[in-house]
Amino acid sequence: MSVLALNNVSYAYKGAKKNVLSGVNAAFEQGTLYAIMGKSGSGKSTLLSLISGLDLPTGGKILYNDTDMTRVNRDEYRAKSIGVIFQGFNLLTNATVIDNILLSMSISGVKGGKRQTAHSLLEKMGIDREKSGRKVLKLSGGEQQRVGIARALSHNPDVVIADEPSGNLDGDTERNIMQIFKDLAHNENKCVIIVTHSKNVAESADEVWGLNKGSLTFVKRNTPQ
Amino acid sequence: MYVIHNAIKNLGRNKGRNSLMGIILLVIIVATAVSILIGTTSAAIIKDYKGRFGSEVFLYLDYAKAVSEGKYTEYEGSKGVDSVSPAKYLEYAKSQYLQKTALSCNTMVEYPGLKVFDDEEGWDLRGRLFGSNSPNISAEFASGIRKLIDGEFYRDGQDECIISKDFADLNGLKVGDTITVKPNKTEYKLKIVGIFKDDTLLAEGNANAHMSKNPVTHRHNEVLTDMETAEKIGGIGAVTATYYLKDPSMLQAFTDELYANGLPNYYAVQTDEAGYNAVVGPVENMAKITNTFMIVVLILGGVILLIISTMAIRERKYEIGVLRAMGMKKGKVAVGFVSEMLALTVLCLIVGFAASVAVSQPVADTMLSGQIKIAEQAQNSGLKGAYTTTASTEPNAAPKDLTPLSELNVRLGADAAVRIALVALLLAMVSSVIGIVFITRYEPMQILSERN
Repeated sequence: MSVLALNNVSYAYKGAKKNVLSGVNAAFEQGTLYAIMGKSGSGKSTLLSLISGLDLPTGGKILYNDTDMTRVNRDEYRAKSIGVIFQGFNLLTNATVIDNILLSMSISGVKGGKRQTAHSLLEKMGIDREKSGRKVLKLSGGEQQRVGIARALSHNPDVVIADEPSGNLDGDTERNIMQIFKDLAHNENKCVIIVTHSKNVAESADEVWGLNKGSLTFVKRNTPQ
Repeated sequence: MYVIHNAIKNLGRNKGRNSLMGIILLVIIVATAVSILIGTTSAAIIKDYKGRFGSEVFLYLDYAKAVSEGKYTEYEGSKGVDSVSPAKYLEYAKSQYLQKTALSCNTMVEYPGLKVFDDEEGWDLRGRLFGSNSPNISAEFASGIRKLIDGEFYRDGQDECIISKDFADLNGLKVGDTITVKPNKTEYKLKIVGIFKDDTLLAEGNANAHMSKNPVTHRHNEVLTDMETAEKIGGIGAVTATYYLKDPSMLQAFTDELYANGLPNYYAVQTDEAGYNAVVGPVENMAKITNTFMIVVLILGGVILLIISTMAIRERKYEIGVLRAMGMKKGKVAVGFVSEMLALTVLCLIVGFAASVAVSQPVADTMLSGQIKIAEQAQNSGLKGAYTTTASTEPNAAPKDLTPLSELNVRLGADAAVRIALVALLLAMVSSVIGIVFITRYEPMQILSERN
């Protein structure tokens, strides 16, 4: 059973005549790492916004565990079921690194051992304890990206959505992060959806999809290495 | 709980913005708190004095009205005026609206065998006998101008009297002795049961210095007794009545009752408004100024807070977007914003309380002295609103102390504290309202996409 399914999904911004997305059909399963590739303006970020429950489609349906997204409490969904890594990080810039993670865990209702879990996640992302006490703006772009990833994983969601997660990372860190995503999919049975320009990232995914002019098509399935 | 915890942490995270908001809040709270402190203290004083002056009712002949009704003419004077009989004064005293009535009457008498002050040849009558239903509520005993120093007050219908110490010393009299009074051809014996210290001459000063010597009008020669004894001795003659209402608001009802019971309509029923204005006027003016000041500060402060909140919320738009994207419910984001503002307001309230308590006394002193000066200048120039002393309608009453209140002891009472806290709460709400509107109006994607 697919954890997320898109049935003939379309989307148009208010006042716009043309659809950004139209007739999108896809099914995303747990235990799989997906890569969605597309040029700028192809509708990638809009698709992620819909999958992550930030907005609702103007046509068609998005099903989460077979439940129509319009019937799902989207605040709960965002807080507990999915973890989003935004392209622009979207961290609380005045707060410290650790506070960003702890707040996300509190919103999700995580109980007990939050600080320890947060530090462990950050260390996994290469953010040590000294840096975790700093304000987010005192970190480099790459470090902020890794804090964003740690935050997305902090509440152990079913679905992890990442918008260009490797955009600000150097080669080694990119490989590390991709390994984390693979582990999440293969070892922790998560559904991981990555929107990317990077062919390297796409090669690491189990399935590659292409988004072109608002239309999503299956490209290929990579053989496990 | 984490929402409040995060809100409190936010105070430190956004030092610049919160410092600016805090300063504005503090200024508004201090200004408002000073106004409230002065206002509540003034209100308590005004209420007290209103009770005192407003409950004391006099009846007097309104000459203008009497003239207009043809009861008083240039040639015949007040011949046409129906005087209020002593019986009527006593009947009015039975009103349900009164808590007490001070009745007094007097008649001129001789004191066979006794020496008197200002004893001049040609005067048969040597003094005055005063009857009163309650000497301890008369103005002179109440103000301390006359004070019982030996014995006790007379009882009703027991042929007892009290005399001044000067009169007693002049005649070698003491408590327990008997004196003879003679209003006409009949002599009456009265037992002295008390002696009082009499400072009426000191209080009146030189006001009567120009008058010729007359033992009848010399205050030391007065003998005081009860109404019943006075009536038996000389008839109650001219009665003076001061009625004390249970509540100043009952004045109109009491007035209606008096006219319904036969008081001619050219008699006026009035409280001592002039005396009240003289004493409390400056405080009342100050209270009005502080109230106006408080309203202006609240309106202006509220507008400034709204503007700054609007500016601040633009800055915080991103934060709202992030929190909403993380799944925080709109209500919780709003609670977080309100909590943050409340925490800031509580901090400002604590500092503001201390500052306003320290500042309000000197502010009140300065304002009050300014109002007293204005009142004095107005009095000197004869403007309306000037405070003036009025002659009492009681013939034997001492002049009242109509010195304006020159001191206002500003205190922080529970009433004022609650009001200040409510104002602070209102300010916190005003500051939060823009954020709440913003939070409920926009979806997170809209906010984040605008930013990105």
